[in-house]
Amino acid sequence: MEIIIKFIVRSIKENKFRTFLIIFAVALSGALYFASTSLSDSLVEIYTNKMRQATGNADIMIFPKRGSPAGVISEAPALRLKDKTHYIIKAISGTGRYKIANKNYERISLTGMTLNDYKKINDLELAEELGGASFESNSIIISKMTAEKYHLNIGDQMEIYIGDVRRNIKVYGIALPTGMFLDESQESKALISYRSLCDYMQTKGKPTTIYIKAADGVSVDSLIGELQKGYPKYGVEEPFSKEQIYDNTSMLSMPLLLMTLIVTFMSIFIIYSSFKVITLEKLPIIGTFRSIGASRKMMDKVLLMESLFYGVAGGLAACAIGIGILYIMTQYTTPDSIKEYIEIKINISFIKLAITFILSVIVCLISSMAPIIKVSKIPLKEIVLGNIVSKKKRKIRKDVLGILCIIAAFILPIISSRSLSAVLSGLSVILTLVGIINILPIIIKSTSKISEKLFYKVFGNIGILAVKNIKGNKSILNSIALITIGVVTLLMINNISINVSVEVINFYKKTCISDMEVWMNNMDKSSVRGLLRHEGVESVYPLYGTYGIEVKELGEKLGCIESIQDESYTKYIQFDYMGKQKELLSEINNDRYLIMTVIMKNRYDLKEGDKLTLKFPSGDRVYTILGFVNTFMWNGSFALAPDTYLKNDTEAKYYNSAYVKVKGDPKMVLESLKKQYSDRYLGGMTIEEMLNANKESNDQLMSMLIGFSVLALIIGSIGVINNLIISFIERKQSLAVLRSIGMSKKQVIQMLFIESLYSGSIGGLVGIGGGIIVMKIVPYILEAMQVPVPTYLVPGVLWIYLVGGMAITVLASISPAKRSSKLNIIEAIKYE
Amino acid sequence: MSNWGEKVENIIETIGLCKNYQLGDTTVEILKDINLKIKRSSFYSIMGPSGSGKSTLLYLLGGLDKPTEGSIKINGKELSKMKDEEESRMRRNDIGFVFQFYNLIPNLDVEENIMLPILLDGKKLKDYKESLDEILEIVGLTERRKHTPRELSGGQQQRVAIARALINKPEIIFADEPIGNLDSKTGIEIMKLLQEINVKQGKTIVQVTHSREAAEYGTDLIMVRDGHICESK
Repeated sequence: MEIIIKFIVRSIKENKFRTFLIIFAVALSGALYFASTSLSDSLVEIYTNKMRQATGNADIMIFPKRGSPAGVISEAPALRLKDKTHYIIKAISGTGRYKIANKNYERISLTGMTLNDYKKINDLELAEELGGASFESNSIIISKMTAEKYHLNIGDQMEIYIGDVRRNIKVYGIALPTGMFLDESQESKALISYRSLCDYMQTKGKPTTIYIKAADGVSVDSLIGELQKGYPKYGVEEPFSKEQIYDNTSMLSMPLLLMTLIVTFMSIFIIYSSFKVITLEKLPIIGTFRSIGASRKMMDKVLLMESLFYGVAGGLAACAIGIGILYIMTQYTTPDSIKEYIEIKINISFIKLAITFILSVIVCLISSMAPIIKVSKIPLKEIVLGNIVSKKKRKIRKDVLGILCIIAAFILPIISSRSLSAVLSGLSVILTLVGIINILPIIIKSTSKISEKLFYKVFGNIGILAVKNIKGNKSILNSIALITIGVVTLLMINNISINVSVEVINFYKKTCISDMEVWMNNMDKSSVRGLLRHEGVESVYPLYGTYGIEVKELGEKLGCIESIQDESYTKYIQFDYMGKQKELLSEINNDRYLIMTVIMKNRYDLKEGDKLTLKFPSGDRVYTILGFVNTFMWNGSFALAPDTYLKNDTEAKYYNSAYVKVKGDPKMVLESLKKQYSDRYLGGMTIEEMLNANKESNDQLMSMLIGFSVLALIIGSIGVINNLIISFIERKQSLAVLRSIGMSKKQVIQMLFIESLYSGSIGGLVGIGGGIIVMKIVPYILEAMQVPVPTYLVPGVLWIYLVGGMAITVLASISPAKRSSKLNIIEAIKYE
Repeated sequence: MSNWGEKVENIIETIGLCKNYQLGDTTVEILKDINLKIKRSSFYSIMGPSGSGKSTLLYLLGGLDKPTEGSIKINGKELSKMKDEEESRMRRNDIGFVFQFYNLIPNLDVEENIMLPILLDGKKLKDYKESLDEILEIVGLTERRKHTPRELSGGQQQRVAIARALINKPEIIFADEPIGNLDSKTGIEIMKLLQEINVKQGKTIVQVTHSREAAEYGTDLIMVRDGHICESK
């Protein structure tokens, strides 16, 4: 046994490139698995930390909501459960306007808390502190950033308007960016003593928020349940919704997992084909060992040990590379607004690392199992005599299997239930790839005559020979398969990326035809009139909106319901009403009607006239579907409802926002509006800004996915190089024969390049074909991800995949071509 | 030995041919000062014990290997002065090779294997259809023309190799142990075929063989021992 192991170790050492390739394939798929599964955890932590900036380590917060008897809360019901808590902390929050210059104010968010309480729930590091004074009345702690921005020092007086009253507050401390001071991207933040802010806001010492941390061993959920009994009309919730965080991060995890699946599939393919060569190469030696007494099991064990070696080495590398990829991906996917203020820490779970390692080993062992078993089944006599004949019958079954896979790939997403659609549509992509690989030989065979003619026209007789050589050459077939997988993946991701970009631009250019959307405190009819009078404003369309309203029949929350008054809405938002614009908009105000999106219609099989129960905080209301609009606004989770009914059902006193059309430059008008209405905290975004923000966030995800598919292509390319070298080694004797019957060195090189060009073009073309099939599955994937962006093939760039495929194989054939010119004819003929 | 061919001019001529190999620090002399004249349309058999240098001599004569010293003339042309292109052209048009293990291209069928030299010469395959049919007839493989080498017996594969060597109507055929991998009955058939080609078509054949019986089919015999020609009949 020892001597056999020595032989294996030596062969691993001798075939450095192949060893590298297998370990790299194992490592990359393992690393991508680790990175993509860990990424969502890391993002959850980042978002959690961001949320925790305001609420610290509190488990529960109690706050007044619409319908609460008062804007402040009594502490008494919470204190009754004091035994079950670690702390109960009162806080008061408000907003002020810091006077920067004459008539120039900056919004500042104020939190009132005692210093001790704040330190209990959040981190506080003061860069400077007012000596000899306590954090009492008229004291404020601001961030270092705010201090630097407004040139404030310890002991300075800040003139802050709270309500309409001017307060002069002394700067007590300047805080480093930790805790609530971490993110000031939207507005400046400040901590004021609890008592002072209560006085300023006249709450008679009562808080606007209560933070609670459950005692050790007390379940947060049960505590919430008990607190809700004491505060029936107040919000008693965890400080942030885990659901919301997962919604934000899960959109990333699914495409990443799909890409990991594809890369793993590619790796399995590379390991499998490499092991086929390894076992074939070792066949004579296996024969020798077995003929002198090594058992079949012993040889299987030795080959499995070789596979285990690759698996272990690949698994270890996967963990290291995975951490690197995770770091890059986390950096890349974290929004700049968070990145600026939070130190990005990646979430490395040792359990995940262990799973990655084990999976890598398993992937390697499974991929190598089939060739090992195949070799194990060959009778010793056949090995010794070298009579290994491949069975032709299996090829026919492979073709059938391939076609069945492709058919299944088409059918599965159509028949799958909503809960399974994500898994099954992902599986369909893999099935398509499996199917294409299985029918590749028949595609090559059936097109070989045409290809011969074509290549004869271009390259003469050598062209014919090159095409003939490809037929039945398994190593080159494997290369074509790798190119095909790479092209399919890249085409799919690239197309989605282009589609998303184009649709987002179209949406903002064609649908959002107003110039901006603005919002401000207490926006009522007189505010709207005020806006209309503002210089540069042409027209204003105020609207009510409500978010996350649950629809009883659908069991899903509607992302947004927006109010519509009449046809004037179409001057601001131009939807495709499926030819029924006039009819729908003249009718909508007559009852509790909803205009839903086509996406929702298709998703839930909705019809005009269907009744939907919307669960508003004020109670359930039944709306009737009047019609549909074709838009992916709010990813389709959107509806239009009549102005009056929505206002009543949401008990809204003020408008949520308003679309504004302007005469001049929207940006300048928005700036002047912000200045004019700084006391009303007017905010807004021009359509251009919305487009850019949306594009930026999409680009971030898309470029990362493209990065993944490029990784797939890189691993594929290395596989292609390996296969072409294997093919060269296998064909050394044939090449020598060709040389012996008069093929010149130049002709050999020419032939190898034509072969690579041909295999690259086949890989590119079949990849494009596969991509077209996969693009039929993509809508189901996007639908499962709740991102129903219309997808279509962008034909203008298809040639790039073809050229890319050819470029990879041509470049990969440089090494075999070089080797061929140094080929020793006699050695190759006699001893290969 | 008798001469079947009428011409007596030397189609192959070597002067002072030497071939050395480097084995670590040692230089091994495989062939030493070989002076040889091979007459046109003759059938030479080169014999000798294993390692005597007979195959090396054949490969040197066929331009598959370069001599360390000396010169080889094929049809009066100096082989060592030829560039790869010219040498390849000569192998395509003036020489045909037959190997012990047939050395056919496995994924090409019989016809395609035979037509390889035509393809490599840039000629149109359809212009050689008649020649192909004729050669297939000679080697007795007309019925097997669409089969791949895997589907043929050893003897049939060697016939394909002979047909491939003949398709470009070369003047010389080099055969390295042409029946070394065949049973005796098939071996006789192949030797008869080569003899027929030599007699009827006037091709010069140079074969390397271990077999006295195979050598009997030839016109001349060269015995090589320890890198020298020790006997020439």
